[in-house]
Amino acid sequence: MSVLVLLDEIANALDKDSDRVRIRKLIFCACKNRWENDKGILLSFSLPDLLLELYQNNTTAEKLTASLYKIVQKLNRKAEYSAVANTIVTQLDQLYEDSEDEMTKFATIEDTTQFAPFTNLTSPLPEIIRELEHSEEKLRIRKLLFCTCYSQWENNPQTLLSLNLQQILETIQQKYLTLNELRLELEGIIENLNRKQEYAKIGNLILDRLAPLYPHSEGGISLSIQISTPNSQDGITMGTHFANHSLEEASAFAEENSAFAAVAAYSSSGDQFDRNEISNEISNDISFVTISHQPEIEWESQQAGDDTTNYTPSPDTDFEGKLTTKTKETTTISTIRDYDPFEVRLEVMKYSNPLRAKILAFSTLHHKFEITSQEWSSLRTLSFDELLQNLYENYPNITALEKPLYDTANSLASPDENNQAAEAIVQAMKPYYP
Amino acid sequence: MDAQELIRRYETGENKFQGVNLSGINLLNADLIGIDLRNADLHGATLIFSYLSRAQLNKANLRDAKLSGTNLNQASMTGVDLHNADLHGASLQGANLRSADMTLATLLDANLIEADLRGSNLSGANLTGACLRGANLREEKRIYTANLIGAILCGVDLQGADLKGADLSKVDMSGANLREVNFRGADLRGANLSGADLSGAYLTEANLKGANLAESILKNAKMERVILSGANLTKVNLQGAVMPDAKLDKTELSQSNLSEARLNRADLSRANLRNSDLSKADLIEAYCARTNMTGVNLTDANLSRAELSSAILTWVEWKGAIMPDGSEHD
Repeated sequence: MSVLVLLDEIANALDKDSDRVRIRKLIFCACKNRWENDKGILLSFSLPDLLLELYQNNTTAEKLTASLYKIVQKLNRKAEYSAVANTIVTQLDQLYEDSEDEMTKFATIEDTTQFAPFTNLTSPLPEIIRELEHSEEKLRIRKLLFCTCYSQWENNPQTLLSLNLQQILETIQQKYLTLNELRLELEGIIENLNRKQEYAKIGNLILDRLAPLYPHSEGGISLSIQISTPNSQDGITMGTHFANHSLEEASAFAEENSAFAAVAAYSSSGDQFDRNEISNEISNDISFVTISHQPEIEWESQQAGDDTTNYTPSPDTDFEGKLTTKTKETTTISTIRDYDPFEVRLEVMKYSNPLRAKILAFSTLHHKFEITSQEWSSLRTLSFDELLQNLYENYPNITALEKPLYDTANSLASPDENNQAAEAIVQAMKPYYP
Repeated sequence: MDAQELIRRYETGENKFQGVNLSGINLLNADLIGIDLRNADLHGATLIFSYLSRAQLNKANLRDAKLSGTNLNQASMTGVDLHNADLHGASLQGANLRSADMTLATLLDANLIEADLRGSNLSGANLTGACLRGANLREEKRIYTANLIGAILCGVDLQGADLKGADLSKVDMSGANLREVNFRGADLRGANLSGADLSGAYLTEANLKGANLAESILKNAKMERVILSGANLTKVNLQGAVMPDAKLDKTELSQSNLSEARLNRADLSRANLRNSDLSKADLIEAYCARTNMTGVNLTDANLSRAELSSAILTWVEWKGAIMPDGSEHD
């Protein structure tokens, strides 16, 4: 099908979307480099023309995603526009996929089974990369792979999309000698994330896809954080995925995990993602992504360095100059995004003695507070806010915070009052934990 | 009277100890809830972690007293002398501290939620990290306004407080929560408000000459006729701020967000607005003599009748801006 015919179809589909005005606003901004709120102006442009411009400006689906999210980051309705961006990317994806198919004549994903690489004597890497890239969760896959490789979390989609997957996978293969080692590492990372359920799925997907890199490992390794019930009807596919896990473990988990059903559905149907579910997740996820630390222009020159030939950076150089400073300014740390130190302090103070809570926080984080003049004066130099925030940052979830806090409270003099302080801290922080 | 005797008598049900001399007494961890110590002399006393909630301490002498972690919730303390007292982490929620002398007192991380501080003297007090949410700092009569001259208020929580007309010159309120605070006509000359959150605050006719507001948040603040001459407003967020007739001459406003700000007739002469965002801002009749507007984003801004002839206008983004002569830039 020619690109132009497809463009018309896509334009039609987008115009039927309930968010069609927002879709136009975002596409308009991506093409014209300015924000337009006037509906009349927006509708006066032909959508297929705008789409063509967008398509020509962004030679790959990755570039398109990056361009759109770059705009979304500067908007105040990030969540809404992330969903809009996602709709556009999903629609335009066929355009890129289509050209890819035409040019490279790759076998489609349905044709390859998961086990093909086992018998394949050539490197399975290109195939694995292609499969990972084909996933609608590729940003999260890249996040998790990045962390597995470099032991640090990266949220910037621009950095993530410019990663060399081949290199990352080779590093991972060298770093983790067995599939089991890789599984343990992934579990460790996912345990510390706030979106455990979502990332457990990604983790399992990665394990599954990377299995061919470890031909000597027994198959069917999956994360113990996220276990599905071995559904007998889907025995063959499921078996490879969850064979090593006992029934009891799995069903016990199933009871306490509501997202489990979704996982099971996903696992049993192989690659059949639920489009709506995934796109919602992506949009949620993207809305938390932080803006690049790098100046805009630098990033664009990097982009131009890869496979583009006709990608021209925005012609408006002076405007870009302004953006450079803007991006720097709006950089925030995504992990403390919701944490409000004033609200937490207010709640703690309302329900406990501030000094007791401060001593408790100090003792939990550092060492048991001793009643000496030296300790008193060092406590004065520490801010209560910061101690509370350190607690919040030190412990990934409320359960992890509770134990050390109550243990410390019981080890201090006046355990009753200190338990009250512990309870006040736990209650104050609860709203900020997932 | 010594500590043992006081506690013994209190435990047998005696409650009235008005005017007693208890200077230097050690009442660490003592439970004296609701005790009547009006006019008592407790100067230099140690009351760390003691329970004095609902105690009556009106006009008591608590100079230099050690009150760290003391529970004074709902205590009646009008006219109390807390000069140089140590109230680190003390709880004074709902306490009546009208006309209290709290000069040079340490109120680090203290709970002053809903405390009545009308007419109290807090000059030179250290209120770093204290929470004053819902505290009452002023009455209609100006004489009853709390005195905060030279107070240290870093990271203090004063959300929603009424500080109309207060003398806050040179106070350190850096990193404080000042959302929706009423600073109408307040004197904030030379104050340090860097990194403070002043979203939705009222600063109408306030004097902030030479104040430090770097990286502070003033989103949607009401600032008619505010005086900010020579103030440091680097990287400030003034999005949607209402500030017609503001005096912004010689201000450092580089990299700030002034999008959708109302700056009609504002004096921006000699201000440095380098790389600031003024998109959709109203700058009708704004005075921009020798204003540095290098790299400024004026997308959809309204500059009707603004004086721009001597402004530095390199690398400006003009898309959709209404120019001084009324024409629209494309």
